[in-house]
Parts: sequence; structure tokens; C-alpha cells
Amino acid sequence: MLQPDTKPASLMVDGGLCVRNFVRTSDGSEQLDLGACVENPALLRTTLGHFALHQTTADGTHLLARDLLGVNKLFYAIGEDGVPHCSNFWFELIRSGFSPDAIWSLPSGHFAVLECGRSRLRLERYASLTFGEDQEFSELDLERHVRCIQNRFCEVFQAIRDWSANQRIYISLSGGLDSTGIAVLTREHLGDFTAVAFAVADCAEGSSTSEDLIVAERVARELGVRLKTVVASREQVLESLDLALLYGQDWREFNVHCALVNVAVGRAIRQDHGACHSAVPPLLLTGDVMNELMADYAPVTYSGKQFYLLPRLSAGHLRRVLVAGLDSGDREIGIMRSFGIDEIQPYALCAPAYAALPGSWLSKPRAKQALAQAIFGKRIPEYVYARPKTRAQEGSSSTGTGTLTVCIDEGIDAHWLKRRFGELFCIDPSSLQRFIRGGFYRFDTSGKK
Amino acid sequence: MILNAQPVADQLAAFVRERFQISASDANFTYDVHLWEQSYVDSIGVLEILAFLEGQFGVRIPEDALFEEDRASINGLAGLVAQLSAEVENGKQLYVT
Repeated sequence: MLQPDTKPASLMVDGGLCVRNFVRTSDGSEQLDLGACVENPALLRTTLGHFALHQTTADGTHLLARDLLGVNKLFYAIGEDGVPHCSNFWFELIRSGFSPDAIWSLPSGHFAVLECGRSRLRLERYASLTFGEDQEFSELDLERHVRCIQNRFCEVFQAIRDWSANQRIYISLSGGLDSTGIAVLTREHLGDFTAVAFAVADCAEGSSTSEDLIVAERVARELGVRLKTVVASREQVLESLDLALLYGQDWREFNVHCALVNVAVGRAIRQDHGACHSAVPPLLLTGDVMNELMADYAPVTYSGKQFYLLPRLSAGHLRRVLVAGLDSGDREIGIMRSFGIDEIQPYALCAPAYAALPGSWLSKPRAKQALAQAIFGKRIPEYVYARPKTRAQEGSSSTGTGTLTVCIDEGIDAHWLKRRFGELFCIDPSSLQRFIRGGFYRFDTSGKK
Repeated sequence: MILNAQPVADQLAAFVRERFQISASDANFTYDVHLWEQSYVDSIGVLEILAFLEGQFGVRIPEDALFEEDRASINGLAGLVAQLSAEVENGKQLYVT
């Protein structure tokens, strides 16, 4: 059965939808009336944010909605009382007594209606991302897209500024391009923040020689912000596995390895923020989702084996499935919630602008760097543009030590993760393919319109 | 063009056998076997199958197909493609180039 001591002592997940919703409607409101949205789905299409919402109308109709990319998760089960019991966390509903087969996810970009007396929700997609088709792409076209993205960033950060008043801001800074872009924008639009950089210890005394840390330190120094360095020991990484599985809501290696990084980052932020004795939760901004939007993923080889395999698809098609796959896995928001930290992913909020880029252009060498240079220019230092791709779970090129290597060295492979996830959730590991398939959490197709 | 399910099924079966290296002597691999539950195809493979069907037959497979159990076999997917091709013909669905 679920082990209550896997939860950090500082967190009480009370059930229900506890992940704070970040909402900005087209008229500038932070409140979204789902009743009005059902009548006019365009209201949802024009709403900016990460949200998982459950509202009840005066006549007892239940309305649910989830943001376009599915950044916030929404699971539900219909109780014997005919009421949908909702939670951001799958394990909460299992702990409430629902069997895994009775629990559904509301897919990303959907709203749902459960009328009084009915037993199944009616699901309807309110929006989809429009992905740019393969086509000729001139410098002029690039300039147009860049302006669109820059304008969108202004809108997004204005909304974040309004929403996050009085919150202490943190940025997850890896020393790579994506997080540096967020750091630069945050400095410009929101002012001061604390950067957090992660590495796995590769020295006997528990420190790290990671080049990623060195670059992160330099970026933070040049931006004039404080940097908190998190160096996790191998033991600390391994001790975080159950938390990563439970709150990351996934057993797949890439997402678990990411979640392990984020457990360390979340713990460090919570400790750092706790020192200032503020009742207002901290806010973390990350560079997440950019890799999906630019299809910037590649398998990794370690110990003679390939990890993080990808489907063999064109760059444009790969982008589409990677973005759709954001529906499942909670390696960031869920993990940060376990530490009482709000998180916003600015690139996710700019997804429509990025998705409009032609798919064929993505496969151009260093397309991502070219796009970032057009958007950010000299605001991002040349030494960051020139770096090879960094991923905290792989470890930097200088150390080769990351959460992936720690896990594999200890025999914690894909099979182990599936088995442990099954143990935590009391599910036969062989049936896990029923719960995440093609990048989606299991949803009820019988109610789909 | 409205597609007939049988040739779709044959092409899909050939793709799955080749891509996922299913032995010709595997008697369990039929056109009605549940591809995901019987572990012939993993979560990455699901996406490749859908991409193959979209590219080969010019239809957009909806995400619902992932969790419709009657679409989890060669025959099930072929039937879906035939249905979708009819919808394209009738102007109900956008043609996927």
C-alpha cells in the first residue's frame, strides 16, 4: 500500500486540486468561470496559464478543465455519490479508495461536463496547438516568428508579474541555453531572483567539478543574482526515488531521472525559502518544455547502452508527439508541489508561437541556437550559445555524473522503476501500459465528443 | 479514396513485424492480438505505428485510439484507418499530407 512516510514532513497534500493554478483570461482576470466557458469554448482558448480546474454550478453540474499542454495534471474518479473526486495526484485518489481502473485523467486541452445524475463525464477538446508545416522558411519568416515570440514573452511575464506579487522567485539554472533564456527574461521583467544549480557530487569530499555549475555561477554573477548550488550525493539521489516516482507520477526513465534532479532542487529551495520565514510560497520558473517544442532530444549512451530512445520520426512529427506527451509525467510541477513550491514554465505559455515554426526548419543544424540568438541576442552570453547541450540528469560533459549514471550504476533500470512504481501504487507492473500510452495518461474515450 | 481495411491491415502487419522484429514463427502474433498488452509494441512503438498509418494512408489518427481497446490490434487499427479515410472522402476530416 502507499507508504505515507514517502512524503516529506513539510508537506500535507490535502487531496483535491492543490497545485496552484496560474490563470490569466483574455480580459486580464485570474479567475476562470467554467460555466461561461462551456457556453463559449473560445474563452478557454484565449486563456493563458497552467491550470486544472473543477467547479460546480448551482444546478449540480460538475465542470472540469485542463490547460492546453497539460502542465497541471487532473485525475478524477466518479464516486458512488455521483460526484467526481478530483486530484492533481493519482496516488491521492488511490489512497481515497478508488481502484486504478476507476481513475481517469482529463486530457490536456480538454474540458469536461458531468451533469447531475449521469455517471460519465462528457469530454470535449477546446483547443489544439497548430504546428507549422514543412515549408520554405526565409530570414524574413524567421524575423516574423521571432517578433511573435518576443511579444508573447512580454505578455507572459507581465501576467507572471501580476500573479506572483510578494512571491520570492527562483530560477532553475543549468548553465544551458534554455534556462539562461528564462533567467535573462526574469531579470528584465521581474527583477531579482535566486538561481539554483544542481550537480551530483563527483569528488570524495562531496563537491562537484561540473562545468555546468561553473557556467551557472558565471551567468548568475553577470546577471547580478544570488546562486544557490545544490550538490547531491549519490545516496541522496537514491533516497529520493520513491518521492520522484510518487509525485513525478511516472516510471519512465527520462522522467524519473529529471524528477530526481528536481527533488534535490525543490528541497534546496524549500530550505532556502524557509530561512526567510515567509508564509507566501516561493515561485520557481524553469526552462522546461523548450526541448519538446524544438524536438531537441537525442538518446544518451552510458555503459554501452542507449537510454532515452525516441520514436523514429521526422523533426516536425517528433515535435508533435513530444509536445502531446507533456500530458503525462509530472517531473516538475508535481515534484515542486511536494515541497510547497509554485512553478511556472514560461516556454509552455509561449507554445503557440514556437509551435508555429515549420517542422522542417527544426532539423536544421543548431536551429535552436539560431532561434535563441535571434530572440535574445547578446542578452545571453556567447559562451552559453557555444556550449554543447546540457541535461542535469546526464551530468555535464566534464563529469559525466548525473542522476542517470547514479541509477544505472546501482542497477536501478527501467525494469526496476516499473516494479517499484507498481509496488507504490499496488499495480501489477505488467499492466502499467494501460495507464500511460503514447504519452497520455489514460482517459475515458466513451465520453469523448 | 476510401480504403479497404484488409490491405491496410496487411501493410500494418508487415510494418510491425519488420520494425519490432517479430518472428515469422510467432503463432501468437495475429491480426487480433492486443499489441500493447501482449508487449509487441512499447510506448515508443505506439507512436511509430500511428505515424506510419498517418504517413502511409493520409489520415490523422485521433489520440482516442490510444485507449480504445478495440483499436489495439492490427485489425482494429486498420478498421479505424478505413473509417477515417471514408470521413476524408466525405469531407469530414482534413487530409493529412
